[in-house]
This record gives sequence, C-alpha cells and structure tokens, in this order.
Amino acid sequence: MPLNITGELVSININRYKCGYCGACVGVCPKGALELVETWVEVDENTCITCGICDRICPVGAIEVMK
Amino acid sequence: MKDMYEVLVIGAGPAGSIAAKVAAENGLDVLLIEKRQEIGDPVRCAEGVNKEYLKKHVEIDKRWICADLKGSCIYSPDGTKIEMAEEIAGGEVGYVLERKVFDRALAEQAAKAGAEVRVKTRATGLIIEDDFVKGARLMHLGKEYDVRARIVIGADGVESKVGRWAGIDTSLKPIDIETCVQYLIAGADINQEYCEFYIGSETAPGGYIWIFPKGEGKANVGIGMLGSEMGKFKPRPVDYLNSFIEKRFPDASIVEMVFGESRSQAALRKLQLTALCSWEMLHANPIQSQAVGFLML
Repeated sequence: MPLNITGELVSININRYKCGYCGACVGVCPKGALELVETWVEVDENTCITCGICDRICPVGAIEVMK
Repeated sequence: MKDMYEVLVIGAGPAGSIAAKVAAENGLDVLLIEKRQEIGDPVRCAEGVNKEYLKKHVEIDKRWICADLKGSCIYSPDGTKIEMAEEIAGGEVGYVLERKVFDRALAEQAAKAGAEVRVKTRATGLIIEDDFVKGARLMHLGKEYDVRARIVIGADGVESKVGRWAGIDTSLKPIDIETCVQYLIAGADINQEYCEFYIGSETAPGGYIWIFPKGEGKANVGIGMLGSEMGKFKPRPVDYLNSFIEKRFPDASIVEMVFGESRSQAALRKLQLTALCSWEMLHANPIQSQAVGFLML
C-alpha cells in the first residue's frame, strides 16, 4: 500500500521528488481526479477510482496506486 | 484584473498567446491567464517546428531559434540510415526553438496588442448559466475571482480542464497518448544541421527516440512512447532513454530534464473537430504532423 509524504496509508501517492509535472496522468485520468497545479499534481481522493491508468502512463514511475 | 472581458484565454502557451494576440488586434478586450509563474517554463516539448507553418503565423526572430535544420536522418533497428533532405522531408525539418524565449515573446506580443496578461493565475472552474459558458473562476495568489467573458478559450494543454468543465470528455486513452522524457545534453559532438530519429520496438516501443540539435554541442535527446505499450512492471520511457544516452553519448552532461506528452496520430484526427486549442496537445509527432499548422486552426 502506498504511503504519502507524511507516512499515511493512501490509495494513490505521487512522489513529488520524481514527478516531472508533465501532466500525462492528468490527461489520461478518466475521472478528472488529478490536477496539475503549477508544478505539482494534486489528487482528489474522493473522485479517484484507483484504476491505475496514471501509474501505467507516468514516464518516470512517480505514481503508486493501490488497487 | 477586471471582472468582465470580451475574451478570456486560459493558458499562455503558443496557442493561447496567439489567440489572445489576434483577438486584441481586432479590438477585443482580452485577458490571457497562465497558471505558472513563468511563461514558457518548464518546457514540455522537443522544440522542433516546421519553418513554413511558423512563418505563416509569426515573424521569425533569431532570438528564439537555436538551430536551423537542413534535413533529417531516420535510423531503423538494424542501423540502416535514411536521409531526408529539406525539400522532400516536409514537416520533420525546420527550426529548433528555445521555447522559453519563444513562448514569452508570443505572450509579450499579445500584451503589446492590448491583451492583459496575468501569470500565476489558474482557472478553477467555469461560470455556466443557462447552458452557456459565461466566464471562469480564477485563483491568483490564493484569492478567488469571478471573471466573466463573452468567449472563453481553453488553451490549457494536455491536462486540459476547461473542456471537461464544459462537458467535453477530453480524457485520453493510453493508446491516444505518447509520453515523453527528454534531456538537454551538453558537451557532445552533435551535427547541428540534422535531426535524427531512432525507431524500433527495442529502442522506443510505439514511438521513437529523437535528437534535435540546439547549438554549440547541445541537443534535445528524448523519447516518446505509446501509452498502450507501457505497464507498471515494464521499462518506462526514462529507462529506454537512459540506456540510449549511455550508449550514444556516454560523456555528455544532462543540463536539463524535460517531461511531456503529445497526442498520438489517432487522437489527433478526432481532435480537429473540437474548439479547444493547445500547442502541447497538437504538437505531436514531428515525423508525421505539422505542429503549428494544427495549432493555428
């Protein structure tokens, strides 16, 4: 299960030290749960269905999704 | 920032800036917003453009041109080289831009034409009344503003939200997207007159690796990979690129990392029907498409 920056268990975590904020994950998210805000990606965990498409598409592997 | 404009353009990439400029030149009251604090930065693009299309829409300025290409070379998996001269290559040769300078120059042109430009200003939603888009809610330095406009132009890139808010499903399927990683390398021996493309499923599944010269021993070396070829436990674009660079440019330094994506050809065909405009979305495959041409539609 992914951990967020403060060590809490989460269903999706974006490693901001790896992320290159390209927006690919935002573009493929079928639910519009991700948003590229300036230079970081925010997740709306209530909208996210943990489908994992963002994890698959990330060019650098910065996203971890618990299915 | 006023609370009413005739045109509100969301996103100050090339598409947004040119839209704002044209609207302002035609006497309209325009607001152009960019969520980032610096226009043109970070770059998310390989920076190659077709000369003819660029000339049609903007006056060429040497300040934002890094390399003037004479042709391109395509390498097949077994190393066979196909060289294309400028006249027959069409869309794949042209200029290699410095997007940081180019994007900012276009935004400045919009401002000069009379548009109001605001950076670090993000749209957070649309104002929709009677099924019509009447403006957008903007966030600037943590404060919210309702800005009304007769026309709202969504030029907000591959991660476009404007289209979704208006009810257009702009989400992409993995097969519709090429995800890219690119390094700007320095201190390498690079032919500054040719761009190179490397194809093959072992090099770049569903895509290719490119080398675009950027002047004085520098080049953009990047990879685009089809999303449907990617998977959680498969190598990612960054892995393919690293092994290419290790072999081809073992002594070069990486002075900048760029991450981006573009729509694949299948998605591009569908996209021409929508009114959303964006450079990143439309600036796809330089082998097949004419980036700026699509952009200006």
